[in-house]
Amino acid sequence: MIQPIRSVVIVGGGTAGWITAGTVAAKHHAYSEHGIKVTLIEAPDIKPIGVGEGTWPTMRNTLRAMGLSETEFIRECNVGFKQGAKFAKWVDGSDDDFYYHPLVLPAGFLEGNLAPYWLLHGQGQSFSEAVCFQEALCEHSLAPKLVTTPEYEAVANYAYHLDAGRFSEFLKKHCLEKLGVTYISDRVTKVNSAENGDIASLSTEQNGDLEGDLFVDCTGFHSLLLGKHYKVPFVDRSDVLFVDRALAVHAPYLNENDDIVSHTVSTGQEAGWIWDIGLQTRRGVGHVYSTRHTDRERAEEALMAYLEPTIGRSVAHNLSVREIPITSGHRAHFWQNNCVAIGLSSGFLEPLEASALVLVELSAEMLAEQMPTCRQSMDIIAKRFNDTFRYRWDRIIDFLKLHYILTRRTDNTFWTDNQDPDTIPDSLKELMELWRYQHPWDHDFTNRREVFPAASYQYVLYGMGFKTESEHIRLTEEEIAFAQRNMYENQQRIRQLVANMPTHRELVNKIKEYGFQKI
Amino acid sequence: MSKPVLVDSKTHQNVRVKYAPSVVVTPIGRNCPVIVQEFQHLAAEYPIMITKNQSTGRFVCVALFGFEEDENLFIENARWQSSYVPLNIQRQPFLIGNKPTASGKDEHVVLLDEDDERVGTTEGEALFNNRGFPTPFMDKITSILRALQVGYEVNDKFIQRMLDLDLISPATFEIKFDNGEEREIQGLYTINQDRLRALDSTVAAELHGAGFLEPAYMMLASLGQMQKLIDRKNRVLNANG
Ligand SMILES: Cc1cc2nc3c(=O)[nH]c(=O)nc-3n(C[C@H](O)[C@H](O)[C@H](O)COP(=O)(O)OP(=O)(O)OC[C@H]3O[C@@H](n4cnc5c(N)ncnc54)[C@H](O)[C@@H]3O)c2cc1C
Repeated sequence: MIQPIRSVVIVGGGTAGWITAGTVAAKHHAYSEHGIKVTLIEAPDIKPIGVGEGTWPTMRNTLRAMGLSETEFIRECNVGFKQGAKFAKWVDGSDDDFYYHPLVLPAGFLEGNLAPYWLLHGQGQSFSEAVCFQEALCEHSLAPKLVTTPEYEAVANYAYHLDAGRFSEFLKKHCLEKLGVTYISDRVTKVNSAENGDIASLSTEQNGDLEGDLFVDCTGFHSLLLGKHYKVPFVDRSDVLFVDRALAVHAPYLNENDDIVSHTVSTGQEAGWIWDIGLQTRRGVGHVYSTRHTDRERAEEALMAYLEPTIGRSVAHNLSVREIPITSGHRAHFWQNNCVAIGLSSGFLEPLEASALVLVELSAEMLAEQMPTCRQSMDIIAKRFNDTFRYRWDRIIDFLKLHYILTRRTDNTFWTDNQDPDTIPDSLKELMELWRYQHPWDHDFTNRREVFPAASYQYVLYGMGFKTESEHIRLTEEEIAFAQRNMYENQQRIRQLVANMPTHRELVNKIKEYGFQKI
Repeated sequence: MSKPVLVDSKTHQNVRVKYAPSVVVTPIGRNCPVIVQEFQHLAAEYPIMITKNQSTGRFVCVALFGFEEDENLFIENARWQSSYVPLNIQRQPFLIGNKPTASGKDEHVVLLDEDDERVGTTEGEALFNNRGFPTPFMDKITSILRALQVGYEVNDKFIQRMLDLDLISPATFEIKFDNGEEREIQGLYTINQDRLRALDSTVAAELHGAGFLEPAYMMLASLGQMQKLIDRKNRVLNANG
């Protein structure tokens, strides 16, 4: 007998739980009698992790698909715009060492590759400066759009920096008021199995047994369903990515109208790096480091030394510092029987490229779009899901590792250990060998499941000072003209935008006062 | 520079204004804000469009006079070449100001731009008679300003209602001028005709009752003026070319 999927139960009310609830509920009309019922249960005494403030441009579509207003999101979640990441002190650790990974693709990227020309002739400027106008916007703390630009549309591609706690609340309100999600505040105490090994129901403290056709594990590091119940093994990747501890603070602005930085700043430290994320009313700053290479005391000193120049010694030392242990890795698979894990329950990698929330969004989207119609077809979808996300975790690990392997820093074994070939995945080694002789391009990333485009690899490789052998490469006149035209137009665009774009702070103030139009 | 000051029967007892709305003194760019109550007059001359206020992003209704930033195809030899001049131009050199009151709610007051070259003491219309009472001219100005004041509020309600009903859409024009230049005009919006027609009858009746149905159709009708605006531009191009 066919067992249709009529009811989805999500355990966990962190960002992963609410993004999944909103995405599935919007796509499958949870409010309607003929839609799929979506229930979210959350333990009132287990707080969501409350970090995770950097996002990807995908978030714009994720929010739009749920029917959310960008204006309200920006007003209510303390949101700032993110136009990419600035990596400081990753190449040699000197004071003027930095490069950008902007969100705007290199000029002319859809038609041609500027890297060969830049390597041969463009060395006066950094790669990101030569081919992309966004770095200039970031360096001047300018906004990626105007108050006249419609909601979710951009002048320069952007993502957000957000307050994780407020974001969950914001999504929750929308899910409950607009999307027809049912909410239960209670703790799951026991998983009850069916004969075939599926989850039949979840026992709760006060609400009896909760039945469902499909269960989503969004319980964070608890991994209650996939990890604890199904015992799906955890694949530890700390042999590749060493960072295993975070110290996080909220840093105030000294003046209410201080510039809001419009990119994530990641500054290399002796045994890790510090993230710095600008929201409207505060910054989120954190030091992620390897306990194999330094200790808590030194790590906290480094964090204070980083904060002092902007907020002063006494303010810095009075901040409350939160310590969060992290293990780089992921579950061997993510969907087992009628249970799929999304968010920290499925794994976590250091937040160097803000890859956690984007994986949540991609998972929620694939779940919503390929929702099995019945139990009978579920295992096939599950296999597809597992293949897709295993591929994505591997690619993200490669890309994060890429940030480390080209460094010339030798001040701590953290950096030299990172270059040990034994710590580099074979897939990345192969790409590096390829890129010694040819420039990264789209055909290196042909898979539909790709997470980072070739452009991202170019920004990081050439930002880190990598040289593709270029002596043997000959460019045609057309290719040279194409590159020169695009690089020239890029410089013009920089001048025009720097003269005309409002500051990030000005735009945020206008959004608070007037808001964006939907069209 | 403009220097708006509060109009007052003592200060302005002897002030006169050379008032002739069809004579252009201050530059008027490619559009100006207009109000719903004058749509009927406007629709016979100009495209009435919706655009965004550049500094707030809010939608405003405007009459369109040209295609480039400072282009006004209705002005020739410093005179308006049309039979209806928008109220927002008729009001010049007067403007509306806000004065805070004890109740916390702003009070609207009449201001005069004293730096405007039309303002003097010898020629033109007096603002006050010898007994300090407003002249019929001043009364007319006051009523124009009041109409604008009320009109902007009606406009906001009109636009909000149109937005709520999803009746506003971007209007992109791809124009080819006689000199071969092709231009895509962006940043303009208008009423979505298909959706307006498809409104269910109770909503349509409600809009009619609120006085919003007529201006919506008038905006659409005024789109016919777009071709005439292009013709004007071509005439200028041909004359110069
Ligand atoms: C230091 C650090 C920095 C990060 N930075 C970024 C970043 O910049 N960008 C990014 O994208 N991500 C980042 N992340 C990751 C991001 O924080 C998470 O991916 C995101 O918050 C999602 O968390 P979650 O919802 O999976 O888990 P949590 O927020 O931990 O939520 C778990 C939920 O499960 C519920 N729960 C647990 N057990 C039970 C039970 N028995 N019964 C009922 N409910 C239960 C809890 O009540 C809670 O609601 C970072 C993470 C860390 C640790």
